[in-house]
Amino acid sequence: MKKSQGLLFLLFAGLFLSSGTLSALTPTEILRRMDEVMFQPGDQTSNARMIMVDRHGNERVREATIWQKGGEKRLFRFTSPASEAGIAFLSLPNDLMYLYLPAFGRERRIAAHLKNQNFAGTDFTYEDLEVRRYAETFSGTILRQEGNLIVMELRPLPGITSDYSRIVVTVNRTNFLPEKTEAYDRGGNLVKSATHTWARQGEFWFPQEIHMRDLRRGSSTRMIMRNVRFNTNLSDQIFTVRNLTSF
Amino acid sequence: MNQQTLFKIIDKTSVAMKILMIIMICLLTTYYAKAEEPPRLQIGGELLTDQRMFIEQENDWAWNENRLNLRLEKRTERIRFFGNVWLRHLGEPTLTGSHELLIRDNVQPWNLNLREAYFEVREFLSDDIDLKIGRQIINWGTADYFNPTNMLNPMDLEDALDFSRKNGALALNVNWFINSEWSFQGVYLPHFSPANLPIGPFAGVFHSQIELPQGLQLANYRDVLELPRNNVSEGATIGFRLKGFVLGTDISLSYIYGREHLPLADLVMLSPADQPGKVNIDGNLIFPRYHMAGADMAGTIGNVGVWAEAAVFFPEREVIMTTDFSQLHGFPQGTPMFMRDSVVLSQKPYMRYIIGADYTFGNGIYLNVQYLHGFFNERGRGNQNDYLLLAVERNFLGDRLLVRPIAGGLGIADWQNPEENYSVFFTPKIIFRGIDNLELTLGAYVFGGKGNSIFTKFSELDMITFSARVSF
Repeated sequence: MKKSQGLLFLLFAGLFLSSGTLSALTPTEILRRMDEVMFQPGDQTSNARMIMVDRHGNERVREATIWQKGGEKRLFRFTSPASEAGIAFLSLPNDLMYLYLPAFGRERRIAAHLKNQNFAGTDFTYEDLEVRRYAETFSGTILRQEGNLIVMELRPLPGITSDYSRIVVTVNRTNFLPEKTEAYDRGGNLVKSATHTWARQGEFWFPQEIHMRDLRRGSSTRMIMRNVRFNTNLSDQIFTVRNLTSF
Repeated sequence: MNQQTLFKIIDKTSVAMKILMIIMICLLTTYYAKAEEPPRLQIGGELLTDQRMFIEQENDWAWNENRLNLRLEKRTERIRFFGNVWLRHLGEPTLTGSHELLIRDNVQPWNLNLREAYFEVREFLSDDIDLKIGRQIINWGTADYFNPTNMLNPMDLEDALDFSRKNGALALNVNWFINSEWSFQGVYLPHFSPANLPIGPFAGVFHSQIELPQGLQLANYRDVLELPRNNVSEGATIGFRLKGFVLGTDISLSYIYGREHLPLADLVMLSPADQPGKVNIDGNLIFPRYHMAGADMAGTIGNVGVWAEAAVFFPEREVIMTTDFSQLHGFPQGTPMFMRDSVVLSQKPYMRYIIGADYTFGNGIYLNVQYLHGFFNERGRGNQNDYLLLAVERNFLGDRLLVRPIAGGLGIADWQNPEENYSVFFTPKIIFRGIDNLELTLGAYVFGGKGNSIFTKFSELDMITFSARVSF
C-alpha cells in the first residue's frame, strides 16, 4: 500500500514538476525547444509519397526525394509520375528559393508572390515546404493548455515574409513536437490545417506523415515519409543551384 | 548519274542511317534496361501530337506533328550521360506524281533528330569545376521565353510559333563554381551551324523583302550560302558568363564571340527572265561575326518578381548589300542601269533588351508583363521594334486546368506612324492536366497588323491548335 502511494506521489510530483517547468518556459523558449527536436539531426534524407485527394475524392500520387541539412536547407525533387519527374525545389536561408523545371533547362527564382502557390499541384505551398526555424520566424503566445498539449498562436516576426497572418500550433508538451497546425490568411480566415504524426528512429524524431488540408480548395495531401536516413554527412554542395540544375 | 538518281541514293542512304540509328538506340536501351547494377539508365520522354488548323483558308491543316521524344539518362556519382532524340512524323506529303507513291518516306514523311547527347563530369580536375562535353543546348538569360543573351546555340525555327527553341550543338562547356554564390562559365562551340528556317505555311516569314524596280515581277530566286570555313576558329563560337548573387538578386554578365545564325545578303543580282516583265534574282548570303556583351538580373521588388536582360551587339564589320542591275540595262525603260550599295548591317553597336515582372494575386490569378526591344531577327542599329507582351492565367480544379485567356502582345515598328506600323498577336490557351502524365492543350493564334513587323507576316495564318502530350 505504501509502495503504491509512493508511486502515485511520484507520478503527481512528476506531472506538477513538468507543468511547473513548462509554465516557466516562455513562448520563445518553447519554439526553441521545438526547433531543437525537429532539427536535431545534422542532416536527413527521405523518400516522400504524396497522396493528393481533391474535393471530389479523386486521388493522385506523387513521389519525391527530400534532402535536408539542419534547419536551413532543403532540396525536394520529384521522382514520379513521369510528367513531374525532375521538378525540383531548393530552399535556402534568407528566404531564397529556386524552382527547377527540366523542360526549361534552368533554374528560376521563386519570388515572394509565388510563395502562397501550391507546389506542383499538391496542397503544400512553397512557403510550407520552406525550411524555417520556428524561433527565428515567429513570435508566440500561449493560448491555452489542454492536458498534454499546449496551443500557441504564432505570428511572423517583423521582416519575415509570410502569406499567413498567424498560425495556431498545437505542441505536445512531452516532446515539443507540433501535432497540429492551423494557418490563417491575411484576412484572418482559416485556410490550412495540418496534422503531424511523428515517429522515432534511433534518437531522432521525424514526421512520418503530414496530412495537409486546404480548406479553400477542399483538397488534401498526405505526405508519408519512408526510408529516412539521418546524419549521412550530406555535402553542402547538394543544396546549391549547381546541383539543382544538373545532378 | 543524273540529279534525280543522286537524290534517290541520298534518300535511301538517309533512310538506312535513320534505321541504323534507331536499331542502335533500341540495342542501347535494351542493354542498359537489363543491366542490374545501380544506378540504372533512366528512360523517359513524351509522346506528342500537335495539330493546327487554319481558321480561314477552308480550314486547311497548318501543322501535323507526331513526336516521340525519348530521353536517356544515366548518372554515377560524378558522371552524367544524357541523350535526347526526337522521332517524328512531321508535315504532309508533297507528292507530284504516282511514281512518288512508291516511296514510303514521301507518303509518310518522318525524321529523326538528335537534340542532345552529352556527358557531364562533376568535380573535374578540381572540386569546383564541372565539365560538359557533347551536343548540348546551353540556355543563358533570366527573362521569360525571350532571352536576348541566349545566343550560343543556333535557333531551331522549324516551328515558327516557338521562337525560343534551339538546336543542340557540339560544345565544350566548363563551369567553375568560385563559391556558393558566384560561378564562371566558359563555352566553346567549334562548329558553325545556321538556324533552320520555318517550314510549311510559315516558310518565308523571316525572309527579307526585295524591292523590285517598278513594273518588274520576280520569276525565279536563287541564292548561295557562304558558310564560314569549317576550322577551329572561323566557324567557332566562344562565350563566357559570370553569374552571381548580390543583394538578394541573381545577376550575370556574359560575352559571346559568335556568328549570326540567320544570314544576311551582301549581293543581289537581277537578270532578265525568259518571260516578259519578269526577272531572276541571284543572291549571296553571309553569316557575319559579332561580339556580344550581355547582362541579366532576376529578383524581387516587394512581392513582385522582376527581371531584366540586355545584349549589346558589336558587328565585326559593316555589311553592304550590292544590288546589281547591270544585266537589266534598258529593260524595261526606267530601270536603274547601275549597281547600288546599301548598308544592311551597320558596324555601330545595337542593343536588344527585355524587362519584365510577374505577380500572383490573392485569388490565384497570375500576371506576367514584359517589354521587349528587338526581336531576334531585328539586327543593326535602329532596326529594333518594340513589343509589349502580356499573359494572364489561372489554375482551376486543383491545378488540373490552366486557363490562359489573355496572352499575346502589341508590337510597334515605327513610333512616328504607329497606326500604319503595328502588329498584334493573341494566343489564348486552355491546358488540361486532369490525369497524371497526360496534358491536353487547346489554343488559338490570332495575328494582325500593318507595315513592317514580324507578326504582320503571320496575319493570314490565324489558327486553332490542339495538342496532346503523354509523359512516360
